[in-house]
Amino acid sequence: MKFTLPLPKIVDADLAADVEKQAPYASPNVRKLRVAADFTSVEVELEPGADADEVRGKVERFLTTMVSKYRALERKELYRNVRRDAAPYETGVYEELKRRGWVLELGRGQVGLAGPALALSRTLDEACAELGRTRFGAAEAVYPSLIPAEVLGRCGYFSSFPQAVSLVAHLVEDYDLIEEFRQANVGSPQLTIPRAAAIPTPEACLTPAVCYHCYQSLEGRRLTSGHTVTSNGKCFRYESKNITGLDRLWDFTMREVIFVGAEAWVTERRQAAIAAVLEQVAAWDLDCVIETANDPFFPTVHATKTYWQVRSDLKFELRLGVEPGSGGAPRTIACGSFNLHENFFGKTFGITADDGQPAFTGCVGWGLERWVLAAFTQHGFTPARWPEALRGKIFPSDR
Amino acid sequence: MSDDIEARVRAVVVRVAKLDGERAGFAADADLFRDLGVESTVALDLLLSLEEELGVSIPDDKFGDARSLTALATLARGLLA
Repeated sequence: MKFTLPLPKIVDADLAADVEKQAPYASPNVRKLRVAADFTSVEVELEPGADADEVRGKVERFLTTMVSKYRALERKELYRNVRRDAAPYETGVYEELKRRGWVLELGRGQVGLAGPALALSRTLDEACAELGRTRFGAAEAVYPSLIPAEVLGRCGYFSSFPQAVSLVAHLVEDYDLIEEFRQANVGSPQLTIPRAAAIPTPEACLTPAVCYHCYQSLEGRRLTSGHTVTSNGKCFRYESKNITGLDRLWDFTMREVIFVGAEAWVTERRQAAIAAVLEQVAAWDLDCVIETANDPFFPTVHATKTYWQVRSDLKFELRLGVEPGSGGAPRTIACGSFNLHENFFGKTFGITADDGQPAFTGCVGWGLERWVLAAFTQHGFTPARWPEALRGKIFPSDR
Repeated sequence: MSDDIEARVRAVVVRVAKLDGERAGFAADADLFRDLGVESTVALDLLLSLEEELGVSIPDDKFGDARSLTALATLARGLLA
């Protein structure tokens, strides 16, 4: 079942992409939402048995909040790298990685890596860590996968990205409720929660980014110079029906280099990081573009937060070429980002920079599974095609 | 120089940024976001409200550079001239 709705106003390609990405959160009965080619309407495909009127109302509210106030701003393309490898992109990469046992699909948005895919992920991660250490003097840190809900709340995550939160539930400490849960789940592979009262309000979440822990760890500190940390960790963002292959996981791995200090210093560090990552991309011979971007804010705050983020050049994404989608058009996916947060975290956690002001922060992130997908797409499965900087580490028997 | 334009811009800023009481009389050269603590999420509403109040289209880059009442009023005068 389908219906079409007019958009409150004509949108641009950036907003159209965001509308499609956010649509799964409008209703569980939205199977797919597509913005029409002329950007004036959307076509909504429903799940079987859905109440069309109820879904229509939710989608109308979703579209109104997301579109009405949106103000299009010019997106800048900062840099572009064109690979030397002349061979066409590999297709069916995710399926081939699974067939070879290099990607292990273990749940929705949950994968394991093995073989050359794991070797590539580790090689890229170590190169990024090395970049952090040698080019930026970063200290290494390891953080938990859990983050206190209270900390994530202070970071503004619940007010900006509630749709992506992964809450960590445990059973309430109550003999009868735990026994009731145990009995309900004996011999059944499906999780059953007999009573909502068995689940208290979560005190922890799975962290959606590596850098929040870093800011928390600096709470109340007065820095005497710029502070740089690098860390690798698992990150968790619930992506609903957008979960796809290695493109969009629920559980993914991120390397970050994090800068905390005075405004001018952090801004300069981000620019230097862009230059350093471009050197990486050239050495790894990957098609990429770095351009202005915005975070996937929830519809009700999308317009206001996107406006500030884009207008202030707070976020740039590094996008790598992957195989075309169903329409055959060229496609890229965001594999890295270069972010500034102004002094939000400095104020939130009472961190003072060496200039006596609330610290500014910035971070660079590499989403490793996406790099794996893009690298195999662009270089294929024949080791000889791979650039020297990677080949020997990914396919050691070919050395 | 304080004039009718500046008073109209101030009224919009006070209303949109909810600068109640003493804060409504904020210094004209104060940075709205850094000095007065106006939330960044207010920027778009401020821009749209100023356009409605003044009946002009405000270029985003110029609005981005105008971070104080004085700068916003100067921008408004230029657009209305």
